Amino acid sequence: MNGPFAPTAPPHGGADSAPPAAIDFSTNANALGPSPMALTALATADPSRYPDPAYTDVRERLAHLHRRDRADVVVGAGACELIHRAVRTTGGPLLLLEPTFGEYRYAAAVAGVTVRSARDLDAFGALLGVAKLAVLCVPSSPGGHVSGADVLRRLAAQAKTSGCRLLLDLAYHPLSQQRPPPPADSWQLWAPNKAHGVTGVRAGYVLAAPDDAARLRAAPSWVLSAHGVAFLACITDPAARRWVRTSRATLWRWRDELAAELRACEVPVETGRANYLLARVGDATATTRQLRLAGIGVRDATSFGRPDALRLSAQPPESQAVLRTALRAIRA
Amino acid sequence: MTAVPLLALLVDRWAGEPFAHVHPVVWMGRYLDGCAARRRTDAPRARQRVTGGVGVAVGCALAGAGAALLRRCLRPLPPLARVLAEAAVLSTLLAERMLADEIAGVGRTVGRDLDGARSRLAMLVSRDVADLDHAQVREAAIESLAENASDSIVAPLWWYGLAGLPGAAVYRFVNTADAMWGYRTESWRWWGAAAARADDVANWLPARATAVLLAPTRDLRRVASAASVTASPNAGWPMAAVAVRWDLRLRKPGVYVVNPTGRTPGDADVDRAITAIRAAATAAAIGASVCGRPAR
Repeated sequence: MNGPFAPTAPPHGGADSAPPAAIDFSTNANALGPSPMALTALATADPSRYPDPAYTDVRERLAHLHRRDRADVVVGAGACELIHRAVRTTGGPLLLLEPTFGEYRYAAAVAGVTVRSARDLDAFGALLGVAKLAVLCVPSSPGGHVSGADVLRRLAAQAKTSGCRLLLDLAYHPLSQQRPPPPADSWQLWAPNKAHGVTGVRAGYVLAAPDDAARLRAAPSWVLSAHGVAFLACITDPAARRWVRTSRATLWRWRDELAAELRACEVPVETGRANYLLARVGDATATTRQLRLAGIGVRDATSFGRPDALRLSAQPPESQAVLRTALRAIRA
Repeated sequence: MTAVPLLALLVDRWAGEPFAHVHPVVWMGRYLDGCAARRRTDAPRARQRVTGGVGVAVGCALAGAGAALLRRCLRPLPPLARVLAEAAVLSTLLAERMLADEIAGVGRTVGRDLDGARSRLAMLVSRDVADLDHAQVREAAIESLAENASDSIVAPLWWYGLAGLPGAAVYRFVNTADAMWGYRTESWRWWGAAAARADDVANWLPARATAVLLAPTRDLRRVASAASVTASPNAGWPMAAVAVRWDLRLRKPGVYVVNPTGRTPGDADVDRAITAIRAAATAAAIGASVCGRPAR
């Protein structure tokens, strides 16, 4: 072992050890989910036998969906598991554009890899030559901002020539109002359990060049369960994709309504293009605790470097009304 | 006279970064990161200042010597090949074409899609974009483009005209050092002081030259007074030139207002500014071609 201290896992939104919050703004999963197609697929999954250890069929389907080759597809037990695998495979240093998803630093700590952080895209570009793996979330978290397709192409080309892998974290890309095409020469991390509203199913995949994909495939056998396989296979179905497409417009409307509600409570709001936003409440940690007591789950953005803000996902009008009442009571 | 700067600009404009596998900015980033890894924020401020300064000085020497050595290696080539090779290397020191394209795209699409433009802008500029309206997004785009024209095109070409490839390489190093070290936060300000100061010095004349190229027929005293509102001694000049030329007001909310009595920019002003900035870059390349000495 490297040192006397074990790395501690970063905070996440969503469930904790307490009973689930009645109303949950803290995870960014599709609030209209779970998708009926995903539920059917999970119900008909066969848990009585081991899945195909090479996951041939599901990789073939995902490859077809992205117009890639089966050799480019790596399946895993959700985005976080694949993040740890990517960091372990490339080694360090790991380059991050701050603020970002806390799992990346955690994965670096677990793998004993150093982290370089860039505060803007200029510094990110200049540091590509230093890092083995550089990560960009599209859209970003917690801000929900989206880089233009030109910037992504340029960064991918620059990373390639610097001997660095560019990993695009596309977990919320399917629910974003702006969806620049990810460049083919980057690593693409997809986590469809968010868009389909089934975050309890731990399944995701990476698209990479065949050599890289072969190295990324090194993982415990059967890392993806039968339910994970059934879910990933179902997202390639046109009906399931249509369900996500039609849900998007509702989520964006709810996000904008939520922003209007918050502004009416005199809470300044930062909205990007994603299905979530930042609410500048002042003391995020205290507000999170108070709202939790009122049965409302929100994501304290302190661990993203924003101790003044909550990250809130788009939720239906009834939930918005409860949040508004609770916020008014707290701020009164 | 030498055709190298004009060819380099053409390569930068039409081909992007075709020679990216010999990308000098990546090497500079590696060097700067290696130095900064040895940085000790608990050391006395004066010591941090001096060590950071030595890091910048040694980096400048390496960048200049590397470029001079490369130029010598190109000597045995036939004249045409030598010019093409040097233009290719110079184009890698201009850089950031795509970033400029992205900013121009933001300025152009804001009328149709304010939220989308804001979101793309948030990834490019260090300011809070949440509450920017149409006009403020256009202003931010014009300001960034004007600043970018000076930093990425006019200044390296200026130093090329004065001191050839080593001049442009040293300039790019200083500029990269400022981007990576020149922060005002407590942990960086002493270590990065030399980098920030060197960047101010290297850009002092080019920023003013960019202003002249952007507003050639305007009263420079007006430009100078409009430029004086920014914290940086240089950044205000190119944006003030654009502001004065078309009588625009350019704001960075809560930080500065350039030419406060000017009009609010519209879509046509963004297009005009983009055209003027491209013309200024071309003029700078012609100037550097005339002043530059042919490789001997």
